[in-house]
Amino acid sequence: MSNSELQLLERLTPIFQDVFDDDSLVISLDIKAEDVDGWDSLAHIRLVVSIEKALGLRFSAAEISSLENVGDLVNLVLKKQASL
Amino acid sequence: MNSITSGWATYHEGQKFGWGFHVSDEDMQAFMRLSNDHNPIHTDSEFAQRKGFKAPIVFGMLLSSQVSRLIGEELADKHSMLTGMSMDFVSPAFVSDELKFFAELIMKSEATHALDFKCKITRDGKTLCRGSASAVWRP
Repeated sequence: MSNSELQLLERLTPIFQDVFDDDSLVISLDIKAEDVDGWDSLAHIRLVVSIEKALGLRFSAAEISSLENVGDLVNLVLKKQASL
Repeated sequence: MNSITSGWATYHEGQKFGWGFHVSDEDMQAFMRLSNDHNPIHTDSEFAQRKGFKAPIVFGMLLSSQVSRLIGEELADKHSMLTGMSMDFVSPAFVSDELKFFAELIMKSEATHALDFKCKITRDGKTLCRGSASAVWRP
């Protein structure tokens, strides 16, 4: 894992913990929705919107629908931040 | 643009909504039954005056129910549902006050079809309640 991926995971962790109401939740690049209790469609919306607000980014529907795990999300955010 | 997507397409950040309303004695009685909140501060004039209010105060949750109208009735279609809200009650409202509800769409997420609103309720220009509401559009 690169330093930028690690730093972003550390920043995203409290967002995940807040959305899923689990202070002990630890996320890693290979985690998928089915691995997290409560990660349903509404939680997914809250998660994406929370990340958009926290990081000052906007995603497209196509970008979000293509994500398969947290690693994809991290790479998408890094790509967007690099293009700012 | 078809009828399914037309509602979403009309929403834009900065879009404003607003209307006037008032709360009646019948509304207060109905909400008291519904909520089982029988605190006399909402029903007993003498009790309310002893607490420093000129009259019984309107249930805060009854005021914030205008958010339900925003999401269910005032948006362009019936495809949105409320997913969250927060409201601060900064000053009391009384039965028959002429109240105004205002909302502004502050975030439209194309990725998730989520909508965030900033809301407030005023009387004669003074803010009585302020807060936020979130909805998701699901055609």
